[in-house]
Amino acid sequence: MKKRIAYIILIVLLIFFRTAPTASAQVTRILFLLDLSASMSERWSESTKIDVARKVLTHLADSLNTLKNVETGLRVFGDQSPSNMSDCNDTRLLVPFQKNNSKQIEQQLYGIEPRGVTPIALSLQRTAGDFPHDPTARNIIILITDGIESCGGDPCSISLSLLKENIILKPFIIGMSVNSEESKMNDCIGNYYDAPDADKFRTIIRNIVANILEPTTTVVNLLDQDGKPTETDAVMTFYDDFTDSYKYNYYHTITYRGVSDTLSIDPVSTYNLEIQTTPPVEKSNIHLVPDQNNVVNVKTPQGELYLQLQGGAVNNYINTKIKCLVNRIGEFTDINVQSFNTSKKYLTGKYDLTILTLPRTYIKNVDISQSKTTTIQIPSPGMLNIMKPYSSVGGIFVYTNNKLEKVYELNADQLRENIGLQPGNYVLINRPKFSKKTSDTVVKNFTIVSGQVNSIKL
Amino acid sequence: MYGLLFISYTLLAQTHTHTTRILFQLDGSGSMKELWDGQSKFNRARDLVSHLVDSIEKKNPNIEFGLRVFGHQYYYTLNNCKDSKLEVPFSKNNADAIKTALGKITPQGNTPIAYSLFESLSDFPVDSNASNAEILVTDGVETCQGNPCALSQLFAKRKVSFRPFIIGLGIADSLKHEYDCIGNFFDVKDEKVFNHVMNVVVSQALNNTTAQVNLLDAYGNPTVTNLEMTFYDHFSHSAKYNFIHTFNDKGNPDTLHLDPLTTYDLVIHSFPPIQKDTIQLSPGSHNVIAVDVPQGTLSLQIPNNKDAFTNIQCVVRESGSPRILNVQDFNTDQDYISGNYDLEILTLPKLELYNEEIAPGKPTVIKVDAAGILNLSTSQQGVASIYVDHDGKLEKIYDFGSIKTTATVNLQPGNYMLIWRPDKGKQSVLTEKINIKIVSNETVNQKLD
Repeated sequence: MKKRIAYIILIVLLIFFRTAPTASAQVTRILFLLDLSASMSERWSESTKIDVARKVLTHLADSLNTLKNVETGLRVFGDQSPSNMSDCNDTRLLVPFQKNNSKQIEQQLYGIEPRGVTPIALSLQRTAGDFPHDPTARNIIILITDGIESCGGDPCSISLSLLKENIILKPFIIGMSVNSEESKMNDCIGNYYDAPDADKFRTIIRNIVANILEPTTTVVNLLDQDGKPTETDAVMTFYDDFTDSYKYNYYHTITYRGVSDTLSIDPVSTYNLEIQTTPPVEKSNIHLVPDQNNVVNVKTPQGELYLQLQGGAVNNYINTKIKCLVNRIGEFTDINVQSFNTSKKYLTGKYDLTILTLPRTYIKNVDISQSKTTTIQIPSPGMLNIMKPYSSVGGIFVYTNNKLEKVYELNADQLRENIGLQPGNYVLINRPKFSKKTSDTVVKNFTIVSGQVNSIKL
Repeated sequence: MYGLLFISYTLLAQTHTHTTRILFQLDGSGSMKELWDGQSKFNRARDLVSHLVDSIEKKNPNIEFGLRVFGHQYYYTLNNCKDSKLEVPFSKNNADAIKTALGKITPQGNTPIAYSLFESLSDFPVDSNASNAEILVTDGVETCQGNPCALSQLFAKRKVSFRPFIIGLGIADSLKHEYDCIGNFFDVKDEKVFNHVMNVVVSQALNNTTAQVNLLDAYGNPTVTNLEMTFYDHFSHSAKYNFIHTFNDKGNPDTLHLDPLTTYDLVIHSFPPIQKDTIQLSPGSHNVIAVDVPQGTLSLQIPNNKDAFTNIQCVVRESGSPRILNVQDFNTDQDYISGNYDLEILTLPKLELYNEEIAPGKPTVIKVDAAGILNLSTSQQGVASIYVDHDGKLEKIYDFGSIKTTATVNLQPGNYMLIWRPDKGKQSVLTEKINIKIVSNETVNQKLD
């Protein structure tokens, strides 16, 4: 058995060394978090759970110590107070992170005995302080436990907050046939590994560690116009080609190193990748090569469109109501509806804008170019305030190419109307609703000035 | 002989609130000396016009006459092609002046009809309220290479609406089309017909021409009203009258007074507008202009909308057309010409309804749920966007871009996926998916950490 373990680790190491130079600068810190609650002394697979764990961890620490840029540490919980004391603060860091500390880890592992309760959440919380502050490091916790939280803590929320602190949790549950409903860990952490026997446990943990050191990784580069991977902050949806459902959603991120972040994507599936830019960009049929770093390049050159109302607002409601329909040039359906005084990113190219002012404003052929902000300014509308002593019918018109075009139809039921209009000359045609004479039609020219009110009494 | 004329003049007694102007233009070319039943054509015309101005002026003192003559100043061998003169300009009570001027004229010259017509345009004072008419009497064809048809094109180009009455005295059939294209042409063969036609033409020019517009519903009944209508001059394309269609006391389409000398293009300002081109009124009579305006109502409703300021807009297009016809606010009703429309409702997510039928009779009601509000707050800057999950396919419906502290968006009730990633940490793995359920008129406060 021992030989086999050594063999596996050897393979792991060989793989690691093969690609070591590329990962040389990044430190990987692996904290073993070991459950020493009373139940760990139970017999399991011709031995005891704690003994299986001791052996596996000793070997792992030993092997990992020989690797450059890998540090290990050991925290345990439940070893200080017997379970009948229900000591929920029973957690301690036995071996802090260091290089070449496998001997210490071994000594500590054999100097402790399982006794107490299972304060998983608190232990996880404490691990945040175990890792040195180092934003470039990969921080991993390998939790080995045989039970679920017994101190009322919520390991889910803790593990999530650890993730935000750049600490990845890999929980192992050994010697328990946990059904997934009982173990909420499953839901919140995603990957947890249920080891039914010692053999499986050894294999899985070794594979996981191997994966940590040499995983299948994927880097998506969002390329700008020049083919440089400078675009970022767009959601990347990985659809499983087989199920046609999304499997991963990650915001594309450029790390502190200034490169696209590495993703952990299961290489088993074939993917269709959708970059959620506006409009979205799709790349289908992505096959990932296992145990390698896969690079996926997608062209998503973007620029910004800033829509601005010039001049003071006569009425905030009127101004916020102005929407802009954005179309790819020559296409009918608008890909976005953008509000004024906001800036939005679009793929580079030509767009047609339809601005829902009164009258509508059409701006054709707007160029969005790489990393630039195209600013479209239109004057802030003015306001026509119509006061009607009696119900009136009619409308507001503009002359376009000598033709009268109806811009707004009066609301016969309202005796007072406030209408936002773009600056310009208008014709108001109206007549008392209940008049019996056409000659009561009144045709009135008026002018609207940006940001000002024009009041008309009928 | 003039009995016929007097009957129709009784119509003239009614007072006109606007001025009526008639320009008589007589051919004074040499051929007008030709005898017609013992008297020269010119003298026939002279006597007729003299009598007419006299009797009309007595009945209607508001009328203004003018007299232009061509071909009378230079003998035809001189080939003067600019021989045209306004002998008596427009004014009230000038019948005597016209008679006197006519008495002094001897026909002798060329026939520069096109030139003279062109010159006559500036005889009319600028007065958009006036009814203007011109009656040209000639016995021959253009002898100065002018082209009355080309002239009409020139008028159209210059956006002048001008259709004179042209009375031809024994003109060869082959030449008649030269006058048809510029005005209302009447051919007279003899003296009797001349009198009669002159009578008709003058009464047409003088009488009130009236019109009514029948806006027909889907069943052909003139029940539609309260729509704005613009009468464009067909030639100049300028808007000549703007009215709002009205039913009079009797519930019939009200009578309109329109200048009969203009050809009109009528636009009814429905959604979409309905245009009826090349309307020619018969002068001196009541004209019925029927336009089909079958309408239906689109009623957009948000029942139970608690926040009036979250009102939403609906972009209305004719089915299949990319052109926006109207943008209608919710909680309003609007009439459209019945037919199929594409509706784009600017909620989040957008609601698109294609080929929605707006039929006459019952209103087409489109109901949309009131929106709910999503408030996001965070203690750290990050990026966020909202998706709808269509059986595993994600559709982005809103992109917040970068959020520093707070952000708000109105969403239709339903389930959404919010995808969020804090900037701090600079890792994709920090991406979080949060399921959001939006309920009408309620606010969801979501903290992002």
